[in-house]
Amino acid sequence: MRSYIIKRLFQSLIVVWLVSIVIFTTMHLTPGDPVTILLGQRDVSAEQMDKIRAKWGLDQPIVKQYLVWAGNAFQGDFGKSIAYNGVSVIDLVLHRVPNTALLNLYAFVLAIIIAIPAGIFSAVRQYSFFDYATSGFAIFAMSLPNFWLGLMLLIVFSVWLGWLPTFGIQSWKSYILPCISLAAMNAAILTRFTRSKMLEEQKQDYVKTARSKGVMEKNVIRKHVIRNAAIPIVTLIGYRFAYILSGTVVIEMVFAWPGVGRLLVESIFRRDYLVVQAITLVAAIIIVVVNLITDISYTFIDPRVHYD
Amino acid sequence: MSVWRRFVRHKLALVGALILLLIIFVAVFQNQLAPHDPYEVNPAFIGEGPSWAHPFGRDQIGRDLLSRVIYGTRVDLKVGFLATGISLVFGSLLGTIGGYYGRIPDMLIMRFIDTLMAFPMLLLTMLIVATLGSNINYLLIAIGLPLSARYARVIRSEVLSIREKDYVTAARALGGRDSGIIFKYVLINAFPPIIVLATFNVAEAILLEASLGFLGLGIQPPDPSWGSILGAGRAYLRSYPHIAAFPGIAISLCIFGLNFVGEGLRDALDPWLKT
Repeated sequence: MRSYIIKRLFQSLIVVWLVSIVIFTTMHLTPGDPVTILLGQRDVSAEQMDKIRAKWGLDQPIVKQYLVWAGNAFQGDFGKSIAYNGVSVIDLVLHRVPNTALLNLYAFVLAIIIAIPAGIFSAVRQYSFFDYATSGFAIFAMSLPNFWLGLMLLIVFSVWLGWLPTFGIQSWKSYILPCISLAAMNAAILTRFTRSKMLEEQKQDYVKTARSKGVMEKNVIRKHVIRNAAIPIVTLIGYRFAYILSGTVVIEMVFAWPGVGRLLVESIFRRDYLVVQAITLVAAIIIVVVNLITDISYTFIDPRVHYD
Repeated sequence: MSVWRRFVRHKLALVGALILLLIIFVAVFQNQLAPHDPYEVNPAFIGEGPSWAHPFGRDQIGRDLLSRVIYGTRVDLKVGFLATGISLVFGSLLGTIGGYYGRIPDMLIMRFIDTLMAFPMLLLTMLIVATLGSNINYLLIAIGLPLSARYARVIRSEVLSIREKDYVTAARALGGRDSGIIFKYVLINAFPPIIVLATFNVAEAILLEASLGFLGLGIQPPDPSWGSILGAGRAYLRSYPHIAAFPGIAISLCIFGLNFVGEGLRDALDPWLKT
């Protein structure tokens, strides 16, 4: 058990290191010189260009640039944004983290409070009208690209009806549409997963035993089925975490949300290397850590799971 | 054929297959089906709404939207199936090598796969496209590479479990080459989970293309793809909402069909699926 944890920790460290190399090299292979893009149409001599490059360390050999960047990043310093005129990248990103984090937290909670009860009820009342309606709705929601759902909601509720704001964060109302767009897919996946796990557990022998002992159906479901079905469900929630950034990138573009996702897309277009590197690296580290926690907690929650 | 019978009995899977066939039909006969030239610009009718002559209306520079969505079908199916094909071949190769040779090759391949999986899918795709450019071939690599990790995992675990099987030992004792035996049995055993995974991955690849197109990183104008039509329509959401609406319906329908076929296949192949 302990050796498993140590092994996983070690593997995770290697992965983070590899991720940092991948991120660094891809951004440096990218065509388009950040200095040229930064200066735009301005007429600048070659000497001045070299000066600007030297200022940002862009004239150094690539390996040295990587080592400097990685060393600083390790200490939480991701350099300064070129496009934002020297604002430190970490400030730039941190400033937007709460907007993204809150939005995704609300969306995640919304998905869970809809999906878990819906999944449980449709499993308990299998083949009922509720079951069919939920499944149909979930399959429908799974097929909608989240950004398109967002655009359509925006047209109906903001442009046509004028009930909700169209962009940015103006009040709590601004959260409604992006939250629904982000939650739809997760809610659908989670509902179907919960339902199938509940059905699977209901077929188990211990459920038959409990029923034949005369345990009330309510308690069979509550104390036996739900508890056992909870393990894989919690795991799935952990793994869905990895999808957060993919989802939030497009949704923040739809609603002009002042979050990390939009900053990332804009920075890619501006070739603002350091910002892109910082966001991707942190996102990857979060995923690695969450996966590690999910895997390890799995061994604690379920004593039947053993790793060698 | 009991797999076939089980698939056909799954009504929703049949509906999905029907939708998919219809979409493939549209892609094949795009020239016959498109009512207008998808590239013909008409500045006099910019953003015209749906009418009898132009059922989906016209886009932001006056092109017939229905024809563009029809021509986009082939592009999206190409991206979906080819990117899945790339990931399937590449991932299977990695998984086989890792599982068969073990030790250092396996370790290197596993860390490579972990690295791929550490990125949010869309992020990695965006990075690759930003680096290589939006050419359709690069797009296929950008979408196919991140997806290959899953195949590598499935195939690798299959190779590992089959290496331990008695029939491999027996075949080896009879003087057979175990690489040949393993290859044969891995193919037979891994086929059901792989085919199900691939069906869902086609849907995911199309969704990724759409997201990239929406962000302006996908297929570049004037060539139509569902994602790029949608992305261009985003800027005209207030005045011409139909430009973004119709390609989205096409994408949803296609993903809907693929998901149902995937579910049907999963149920039909259930006895062969261990995980």
